[in-house]
Amino acid sequence: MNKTEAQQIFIQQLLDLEEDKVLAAVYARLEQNDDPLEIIEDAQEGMRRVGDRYEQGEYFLAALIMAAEIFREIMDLVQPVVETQISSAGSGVILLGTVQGDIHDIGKNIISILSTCYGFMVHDLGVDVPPEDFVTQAEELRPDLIGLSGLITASFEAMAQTIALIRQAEAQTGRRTPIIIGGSQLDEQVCEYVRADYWVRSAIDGVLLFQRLLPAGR
Amino acid sequence: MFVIPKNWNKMSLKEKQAARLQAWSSPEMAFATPEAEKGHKQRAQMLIDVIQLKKPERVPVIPWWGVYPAHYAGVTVQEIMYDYEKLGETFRKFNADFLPDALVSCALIGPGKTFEILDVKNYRWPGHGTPVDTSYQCVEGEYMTADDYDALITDPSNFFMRTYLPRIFGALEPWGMLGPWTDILELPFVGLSLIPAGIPPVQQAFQAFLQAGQVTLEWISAVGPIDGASIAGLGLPDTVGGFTKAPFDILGDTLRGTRGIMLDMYRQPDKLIAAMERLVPIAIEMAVRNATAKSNPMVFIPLHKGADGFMSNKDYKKFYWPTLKAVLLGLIEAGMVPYLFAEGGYNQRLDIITDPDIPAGHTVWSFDHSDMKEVKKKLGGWAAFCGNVPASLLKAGTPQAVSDCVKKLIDDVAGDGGYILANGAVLDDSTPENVHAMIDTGKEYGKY
Repeated sequence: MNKTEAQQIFIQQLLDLEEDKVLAAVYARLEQNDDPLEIIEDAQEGMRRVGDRYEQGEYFLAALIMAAEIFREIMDLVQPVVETQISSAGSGVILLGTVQGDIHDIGKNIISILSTCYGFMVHDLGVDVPPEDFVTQAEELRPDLIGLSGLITASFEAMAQTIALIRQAEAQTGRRTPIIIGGSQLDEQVCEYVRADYWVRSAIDGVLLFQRLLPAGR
Repeated sequence: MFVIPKNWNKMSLKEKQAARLQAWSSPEMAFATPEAEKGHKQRAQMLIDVIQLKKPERVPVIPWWGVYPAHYAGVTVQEIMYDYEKLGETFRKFNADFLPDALVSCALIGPGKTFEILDVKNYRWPGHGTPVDTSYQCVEGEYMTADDYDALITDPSNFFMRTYLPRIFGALEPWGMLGPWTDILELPFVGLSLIPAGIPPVQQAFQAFLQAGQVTLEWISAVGPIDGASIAGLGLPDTVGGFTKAPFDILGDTLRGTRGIMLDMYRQPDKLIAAMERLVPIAIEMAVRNATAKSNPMVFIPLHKGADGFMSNKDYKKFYWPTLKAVLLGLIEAGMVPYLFAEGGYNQRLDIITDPDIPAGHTVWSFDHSDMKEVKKKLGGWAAFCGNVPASLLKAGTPQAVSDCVKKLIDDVAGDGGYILANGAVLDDSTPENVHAMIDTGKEYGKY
């Protein structure tokens, strides 16, 4: 679909993190009865471009947090207008959380924001998530991928336990969901130790991996 | 206690540093044996040589320790936060068994009773929110709101006492009812100003504060002799004299939180910068006071939210570096040796931190995930550096792999001095074999 000049400017303003201008534009578009779903689509396009800038090393965590904040504000304004939720059809579903015993959430939040930028549907279980909760949620949501985050070395044991429990539960159903571990202290040795399928140290590598594993995600 | 010489103001930076290092390296203490005294002198001299960018007799091995000593002793971290007998056994044995080139201090384990009495909200610690055998962890939050900047900038101590501390310590919540100390002026107003101190909840809060002080004194009365026994008995010098933080981290870690401070960079950059500038003299004074009391000029500065990935170099130069640099220059002016611990990656920042305004031979930089050859290229001849042995290798690798990693690091960057062997992140989890491989290989292979 061709975007009007006003839409292009809106997307650019979001990309440039011009919060006041973006929100003023949302108000104006809602006033003139623009299709709210189109506003959301434009906002998602802006977020995708934010993700691209992050991938290219032009944006960093600070910009991602600001972009996510603007996106949240847009959704707060638009969502009451649209009763229906944004369709997630076609995008991959990712179950994400920081493992038990670890309450670090920065890395997990970056990958959560970035995954949303790239059109994935993320179910973020938060921090200090017990292995049993991952299993219950995995059975309920049937995600395409499971991401376990952890910063401290003590999280390695929790990752191993969580993965063992997920695999044990899956053995009864015949499913096998790819499990990715993420954290700045990880490497191949840890991946083998905890019996994960993949490991990533950076959020962008994580999202690129998600895209590789779920080509429909973008 | 380091006694400031009369001619202090006429001394050069080098002379001030040398005077403080001299006092640190020859402490007024009775060593248990002549060997211990000799060992202390030898180890202190190696570190002094490294700081001053000279070639020591060998590479000093000074790893960063987390809660691994507890694992090694087979006790939980929770136990040694309360049981000081066990704390002592754990650390005396750990120091004796591994003999690194600096004291492994038990002080960082912290007093569990104090945290409980204060009802600490912004951290979880073993048995109180984190498993009994792991480290403490910070609970990210906005303990200072986006609207609190003016209050902090106007009077940081007042803001801490009446707003911040009541938010992070449940037991001190009633302190929010107190008036500022600066209310207390003319005699008739003294009475009026003290009214809030009589309110029952405020009195209870002060009682909790006094009780926390009492149990903290019991704790430090135990910690002092434990560390003292390792210094005097084994000749291991203490390498932490004071502690401070980059103003950006003071705000970004436990006041505004990561999300909060990053939004402030866009929404209220001027206030953020003004607040950080306000914190510079406070960050300097805190370190100098403690380092002077301990007669130990090394000032530990963990660096957090300025690592690669958090912000662009342009933002680092605007928000992070200017006030950190001001703190470093203030410390160096006072004869201190800032000992910086750059957590995460710092590859993008090397050109910025090697600021020509910071004199050579006055700082020590430790790196985690940074390219050490690049570090050597940029910092060599300007500052001492260390770090990089990976936590994952120490946890999941073999002793041979650890030993190979240490040898490669020494081959790559030990050069003609100015280098300390250390791991990248604080060590929480490992095996005795791997820790021995790191320390013993470093000592043997690191001979110049």
